[in-house]
Amino acid sequence: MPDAEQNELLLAFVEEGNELLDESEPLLIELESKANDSGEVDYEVLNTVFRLFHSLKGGAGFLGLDTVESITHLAETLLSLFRKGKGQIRSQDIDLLTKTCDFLRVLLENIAVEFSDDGFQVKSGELKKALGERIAEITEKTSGEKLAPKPEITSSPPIRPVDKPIAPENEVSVNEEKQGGIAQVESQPEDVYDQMILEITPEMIKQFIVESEDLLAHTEHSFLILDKNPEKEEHLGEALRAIHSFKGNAGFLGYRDLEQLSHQAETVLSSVMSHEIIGNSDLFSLLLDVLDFLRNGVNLLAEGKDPVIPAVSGVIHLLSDTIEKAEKPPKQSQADDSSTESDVFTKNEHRSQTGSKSIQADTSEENPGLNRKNSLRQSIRVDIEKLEVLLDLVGELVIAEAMVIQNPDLKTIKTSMENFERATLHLNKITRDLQDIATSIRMIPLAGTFRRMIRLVRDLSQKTAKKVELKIIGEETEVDKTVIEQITDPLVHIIRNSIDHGIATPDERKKYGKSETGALTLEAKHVGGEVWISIRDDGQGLNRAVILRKAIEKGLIDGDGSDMSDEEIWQLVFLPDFSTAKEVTDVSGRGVGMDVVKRNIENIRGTVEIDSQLESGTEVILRIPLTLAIIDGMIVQIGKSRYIVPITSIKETLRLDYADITKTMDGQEILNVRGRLLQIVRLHEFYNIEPTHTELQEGIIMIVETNGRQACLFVDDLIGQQQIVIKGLSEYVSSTTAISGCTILGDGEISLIVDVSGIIEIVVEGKPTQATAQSAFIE
Amino acid sequence: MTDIDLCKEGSQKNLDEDTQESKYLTFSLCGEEYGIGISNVIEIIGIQRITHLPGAPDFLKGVINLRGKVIPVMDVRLRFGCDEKEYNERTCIVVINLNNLSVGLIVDTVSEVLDIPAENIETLPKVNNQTGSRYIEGLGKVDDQVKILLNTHKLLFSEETEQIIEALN
Repeated sequence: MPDAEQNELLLAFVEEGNELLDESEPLLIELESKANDSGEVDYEVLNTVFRLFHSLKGGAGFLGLDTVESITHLAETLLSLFRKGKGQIRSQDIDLLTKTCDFLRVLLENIAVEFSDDGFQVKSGELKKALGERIAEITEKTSGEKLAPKPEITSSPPIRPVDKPIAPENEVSVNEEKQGGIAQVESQPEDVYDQMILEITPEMIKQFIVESEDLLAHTEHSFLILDKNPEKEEHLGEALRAIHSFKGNAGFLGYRDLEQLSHQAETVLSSVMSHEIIGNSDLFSLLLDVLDFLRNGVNLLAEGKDPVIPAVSGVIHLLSDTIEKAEKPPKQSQADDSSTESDVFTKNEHRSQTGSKSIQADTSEENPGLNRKNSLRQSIRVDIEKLEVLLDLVGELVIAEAMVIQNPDLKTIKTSMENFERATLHLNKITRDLQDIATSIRMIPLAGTFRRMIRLVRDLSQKTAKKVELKIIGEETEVDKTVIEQITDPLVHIIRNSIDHGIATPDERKKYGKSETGALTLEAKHVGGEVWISIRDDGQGLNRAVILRKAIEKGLIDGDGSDMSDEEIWQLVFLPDFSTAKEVTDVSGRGVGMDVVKRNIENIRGTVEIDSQLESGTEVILRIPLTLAIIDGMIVQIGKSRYIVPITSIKETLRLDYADITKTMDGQEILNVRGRLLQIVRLHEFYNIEPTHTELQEGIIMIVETNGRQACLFVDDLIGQQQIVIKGLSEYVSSTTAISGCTILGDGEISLIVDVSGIIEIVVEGKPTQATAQSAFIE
Repeated sequence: MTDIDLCKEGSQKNLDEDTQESKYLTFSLCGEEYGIGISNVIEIIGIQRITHLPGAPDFLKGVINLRGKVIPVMDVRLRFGCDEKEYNERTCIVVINLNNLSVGLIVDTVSEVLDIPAENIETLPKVNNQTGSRYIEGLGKVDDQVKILLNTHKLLFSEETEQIIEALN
């Protein structure tokens, strides 16, 4: 069972981790843009990012995910250096951190499958090296100016890292146990120090690593408490003991850097203990950094390297400077030999000294945290499978309701049905409400997906050396979870295209009299029963002539295309393999992207529209239905079968008074609808069903449209409009012709849903039917 | 899904298979007696209203509504290349489940559940993959009679698909 629990925890961690990364990425980019614009660091944002990484690290540490922990730790260290104002945030740093995010995502993915983060040593090693180098670079620089650090430290805003939620009482007892154990371990070897020094076995190193991690974690915990409540001296003692043990172990194994640094930290701590200096938040921040260095060393050891701490002497100097220059408690001479009274006084004094700072801290630190909490809606995590089952059941309920209300037995009842009807009306209302709620549970805001694009735009604009500003509107718009999954790829492709082909380089843009920075707008809004997502750029626009030339070259259209509308021409870019790019770059140009866009959007029964003006920009609009599970459908009769045509694709229905039909010699029937010539598809022939009517005048003509293409469907009769709960045909059935799914009608019969775009593709555009293309699945 | 749960499920399955392993549901089809392993059988129902699927192969008669679930049904006669026979009140749909995939098998009549121990099962002397004999797992001897035992997996999937599935596993 512990395994199961652990895995459960790991999965929760993965989920949370991804959320944290989703939150961090846009913030990192915000940091960068602010730093670039004004050269100033937005501490609030920086702190938030720091907190996010810290939470990730905490979770990883708890679950024993060493790779994740060590990487987040390094990232956190780097961020904390920035927080202290040491080192300028450069674009490269943000690159490094976003790369870290990427790598963490890979790790999380792996954890979700393998329940461990093993097997990434090489990649993580590279990343760690890069992070470590940057950290070293910054610390060396600061330690180089070691006369200056004092004012720097005091001027930096006091920062309180998030407390780990561990009950202190438990912590103490655990700690003491550990302490005992370690003291023993430590005292034993000291006797035999000389003989042992050359015989360090791998087991000992392993044990040292494990113990050190424990010790450092306890110390960190104590520091974090002290940082908030400097008067809690019992934690000071604990930290001192832990550091001392660590120093002893490190010394025994001959790790000089670790020993020296921990020794210095111990000195600082004992000075605080003896009230020589005051332990304020700055001091503990510094000590927390020292812990980070120590942990880095231990991590190196865990990777089988020497635990060398870069710029260790600088850090040690920094610590000894701190002792000299730190705030001395007033009346120090008395404090040593006087009673508890002066102790109290010292503390009060200390409080008043730091009072102004903590007020500052309250406004800059605590409040955003509080706001963040408040803005978070109360929510619980639910297994997505449960939700799907719920939605399925609601679907069943809708069907069952129809089966009751439209039950043929009811027709035999002769008496008044007034009460029954009132009851069914009530039932109907409840099922509708339930259906709405059930669907809305699966709705999530687009914000996460949209924010991911911030990163993409940034990377792409760097890669292509173009200036692009992304504006996001309506990120709070909610769509079904499946929709989110399906639109991420299309968004990526469209944005790639916009930046690669649409928006020109700053120089070129100037020539056209545009600002150097291209504007890219990502907007989402509700329109009727649909969500419209628009991606708009002010770039060069689609070039009709170029697209036409390419299409003719590839034999995609007949004639010179001069009779085609712009809309029809824009639709050409969605054809597979279609690219007007002169060369394939690593961003785009292979002609795959837009094909993916169309496919994904059609999968969720959406449509893609393009609007473009040469030289002034392009807008791609994705029109997506709000929910995927339930649609409005028209039930039509074909022979004995009933089929469903989605209402959204029906333009109009008509009964022909006279046969205004042109028949071509190959049997195509063409109907003239107010000047538009449309091909008639006899559904009974198409689906190979025995029809009731074969004369066009006796049946019904439905004019349908998808993606700007129209056709006429001929059916026997219209039965009525109804809400349809869509069910997939079994996986086993992969080879049907132009059927997009099925539903169960009120009388329990299964009715198939007509795939209008499939029909148009097969009949009007002459695509091979899926039955011939895919029949290999079964036979 | 956790390791523990999987283990449990596995052991449960083993237990069931121990008792069910040698049990076969027999049915008649084109005058012959066939059998399929009972562990895959979910239920047996009478003939239902079938919604025809355009574009599907002949033997795939369509889909039925089994208490709100859409289940494809296969006419085993057509799968074996026998003549089509009109369905009557004795016609049955045997619903089987393979890897979470439910499929109904239309057979002439269902006979009984028989215990055929492994030692009474012989392999087909000659396996010819081109004809229907590739669906045969073995011949089960019950007293004087011989029951043709079917491999449900091969019955449902083409060789090509099976290879893909195997490759995936």
